[in-house]
Amino acid sequence: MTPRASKVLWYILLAIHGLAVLLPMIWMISTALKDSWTIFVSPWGYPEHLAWANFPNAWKKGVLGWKFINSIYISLAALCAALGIASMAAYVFGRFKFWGRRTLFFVFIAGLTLPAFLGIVPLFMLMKSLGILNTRYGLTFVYTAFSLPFSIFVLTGFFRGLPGELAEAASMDGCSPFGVFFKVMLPLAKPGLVTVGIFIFISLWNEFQLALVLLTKPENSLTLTLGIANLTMAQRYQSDWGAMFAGLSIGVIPTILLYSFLQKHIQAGLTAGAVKG
Amino acid sequence: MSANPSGLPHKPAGAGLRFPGRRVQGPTAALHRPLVLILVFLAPAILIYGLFFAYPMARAVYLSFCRVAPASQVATFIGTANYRKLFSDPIYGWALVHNLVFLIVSGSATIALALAIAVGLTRISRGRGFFRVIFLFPNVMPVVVTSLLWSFVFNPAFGLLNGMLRLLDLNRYCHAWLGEPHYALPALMLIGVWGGVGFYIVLFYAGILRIPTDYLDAAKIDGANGWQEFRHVTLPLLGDLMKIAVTYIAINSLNIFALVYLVTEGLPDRHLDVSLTYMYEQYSKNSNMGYSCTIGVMQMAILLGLSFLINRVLRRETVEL
Repeated sequence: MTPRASKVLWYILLAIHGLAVLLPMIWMISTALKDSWTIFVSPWGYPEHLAWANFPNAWKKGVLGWKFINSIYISLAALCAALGIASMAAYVFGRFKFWGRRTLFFVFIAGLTLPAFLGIVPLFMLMKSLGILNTRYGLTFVYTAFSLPFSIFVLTGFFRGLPGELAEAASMDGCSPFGVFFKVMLPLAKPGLVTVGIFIFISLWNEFQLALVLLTKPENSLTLTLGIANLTMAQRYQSDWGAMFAGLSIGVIPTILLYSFLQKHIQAGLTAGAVKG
Repeated sequence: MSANPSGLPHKPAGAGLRFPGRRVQGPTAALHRPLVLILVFLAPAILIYGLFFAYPMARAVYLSFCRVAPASQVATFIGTANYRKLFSDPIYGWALVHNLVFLIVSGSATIALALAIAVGLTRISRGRGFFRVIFLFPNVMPVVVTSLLWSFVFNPAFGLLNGMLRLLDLNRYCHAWLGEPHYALPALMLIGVWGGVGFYIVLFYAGILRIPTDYLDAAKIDGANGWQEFRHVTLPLLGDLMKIAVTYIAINSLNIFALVYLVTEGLPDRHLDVSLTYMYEQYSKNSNMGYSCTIGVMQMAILLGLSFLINRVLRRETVEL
């Protein structure tokens, strides 16, 4: 086979996979713009007149609008808390020696492999007795805790790799250890914080399992993913399909936008740990 | 959490550690002592992680040996009764079989497809960036959206799949996909591959780019064709990446939940339970909290065993660069 012919075959393979990826997504958006009648008559066709009303309908119907804002609030709050707490801990793990360091580090990192579901029953009981079940800040606490293993793991490696000279110089100049961290080391760690932040935000925005168990009342389904799931389950035997597809589209928009703008960061971050050098 | 680069190689502890400078002894020396900083900086992490992560996990291990009263939630120690029940529970057995089918069928399909696409990406000259961006779209979508969207793709009345078949005049191949036992599991696995393969494409692509071109040139000079080059140079030199990929796939296939829960909810019987949906069912519908924890602990044991096994089996298969 000539190199040119084999290249064409590779292009065909990639194009087919690209189409398989994009087709369901395009279908989702085009269906979100159809009225329920058209969906049934021509599921495959192009929407003749765009039924934009589906989006406000979805926004109001499952109170998705309110949940959208809730999801942003919870994800951002947990993200900030996790980054703050994890960067302090990672700094200590990465740059200090103390008794029990390896054991403690291992305890945190073990969280990466444990299934989130293992502790779900006791977690539910704990939150109930603390009176924070079905609350936004209750879920924020849990999301913060579940984000710590990954954040600490990546950031510890990051702090360990930073040059020590700047910190030494600052401390010689009379900067307190706390000052060294906040004024010198934390700004240096910014690229690491950005990468970790993107991953945490996307995974918290997409999170479903914990929310399903910890937000027990359907009317309290605070996050968008849970709201979309509940809306679809409730609607499955009704007929406002257009609004449902609009709901699905709303759920995708933030992460797809974030990914499209920051995809270089994400592609690099995905393999940063796995591929050495 | 999806696509967590967990279990990655990291430097041995202590390597490259440096203290941020010896401090000058003086009146404020007490404040400068790193011990204070270490305690203050670790406290919030230990508190939050301990309370909302470590404590529930440890407590779950204890509860797996208990019967928990549904209303009062008082736990009574009953020894290994839950475990004995688990080992003779046919529904749990079938759930694990489904996990295993996911791991083997869906997992090999994912790896094969990801390898092919990653090699393809290195062989083309234009459009790499475009394809790489598109291929990762499903991975950043919420799994809730992926699952529900695909349950509509398979919808017998207005789904995309049957719509396409009708368009091509292949009406006789139309099915109620998820409603028919024969097609439901393959359909679920297809969704799993669609949603997961992007990450492995990026992983393998980065791995192939890392291989020094000398090796590939040497293979070409020796007259290797494309397939031989892939089989004898690229594949062995992917090294640890294959191990990482297989480990991830094993973890993800075992921890599969939202996809099965969302797609099969409302279907007549539970011929599609996987271990975590069964665990959730025991907890939410049957208020069987102790037994639910037993399934969770078992899950952890299986995960640990599996990662150990994968590391053992694949160790000799790879070449370190």
